[in-house]
Amino acid sequence: MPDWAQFVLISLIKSVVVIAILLTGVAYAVWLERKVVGRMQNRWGPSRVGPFGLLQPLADGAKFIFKEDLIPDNVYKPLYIAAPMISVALALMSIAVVPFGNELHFGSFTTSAQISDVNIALLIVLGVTSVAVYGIALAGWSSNSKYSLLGSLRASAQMVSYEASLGLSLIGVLLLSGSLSLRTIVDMQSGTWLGFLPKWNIFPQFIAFFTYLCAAFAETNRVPFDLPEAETELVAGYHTEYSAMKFAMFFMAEYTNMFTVACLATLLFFGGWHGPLFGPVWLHDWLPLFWFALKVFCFIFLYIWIRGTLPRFRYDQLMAFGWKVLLPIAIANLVLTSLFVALWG
Amino acid sequence: MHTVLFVIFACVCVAAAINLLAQRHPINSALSLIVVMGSLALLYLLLGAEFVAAVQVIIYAGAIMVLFVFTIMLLNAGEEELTRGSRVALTSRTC
Repeated sequence: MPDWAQFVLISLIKSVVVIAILLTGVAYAVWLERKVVGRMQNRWGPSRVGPFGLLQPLADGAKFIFKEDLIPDNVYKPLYIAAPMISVALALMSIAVVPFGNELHFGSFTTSAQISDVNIALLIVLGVTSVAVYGIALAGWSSNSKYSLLGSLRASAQMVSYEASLGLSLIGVLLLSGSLSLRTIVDMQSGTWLGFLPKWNIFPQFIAFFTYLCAAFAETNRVPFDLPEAETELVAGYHTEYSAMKFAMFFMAEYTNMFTVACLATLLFFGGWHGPLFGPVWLHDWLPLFWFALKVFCFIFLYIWIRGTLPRFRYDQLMAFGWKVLLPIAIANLVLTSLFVALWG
Repeated sequence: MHTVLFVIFACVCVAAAINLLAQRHPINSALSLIVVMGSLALLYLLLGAEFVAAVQVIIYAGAIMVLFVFTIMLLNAGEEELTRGSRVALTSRTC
């Protein structure tokens, strides 16, 4: 087999595996969210389909597929149909550069646990996030409905505003590690300080982590920044006019974005796949994947926890927080980190 | 391999640029412009200028074009009327 054919084949297999795992994860994140929020509000959550309601995602999926796909009369059809596809495609795209672990060995065959290792991975993730506004903006505009338009205008303004803080908060980490490659950034965080404290970026960059977390919540339109789909005032925001599989695509895009953001936080601030290795040698390939998944799970749980805890911001508060609090903090952190790197680095 | 990719993306780029002129609805034109930016970024990538490609997407497709689309959405601009000057649109309508 020629080299390029092998490359294409391996990439294809990896993509299929990663997307399958990711979408299963998304389905079960929805289940987890309903379950955990249910328990927080003193009710059971899904409990009818399967043990602990574990088959609920399957039932939901079947329902979404078999529901009637309504298209209102006055929508602008090409964009109305394209918008959910754009959303979901862009959401899935950025997972391609995320490394999940070290090299994996299958007999004599070795491959890295990542679809493609590019040296501008972080920029690619930022680029994809910045383009992801279009799915939401076009959905709201093409639906030709007041609520949708208001929701999508809010979403675009919010995402554009918080992108600045998101980008600036990442630069601190970049300065410390001196690379845009996610694999290098993670490798810089191996080892410990003083023998017990893991060398994670969260400790020198906790301000950046705070700004990143806030901006990431806003980018993914989650509580407390879920104004684009504020049910109490906008019906459902930008996906008011969508039903069946098209609605499910927006849903999938939102949860996939949550996963991407959680992966990125794990890679940049929490040492990625690094964790204690033990047991037989074959386990050493798979333990990093487990640690990575565990850290990502903690972030997903944090998302759900915050959803069950905090109320929603008012719109002017949201904008004021983004521009007057978050952005100055991010810039201050950037200046401090640059000074530190220049003087002692 | 590079030549094939170059031809594909160059064709996409030119086609999107012509579509940008031919469309009568501003939002379609804006979206074609995004496609132009995207394929330009891919051309930069083929040339080995990865940073420029990423910056092209982040700044042009991600920031400037969002403003364009935002403005079109806010103004709720409808289809534009054809004048004798808009030749591309006229020809694309007749053929």
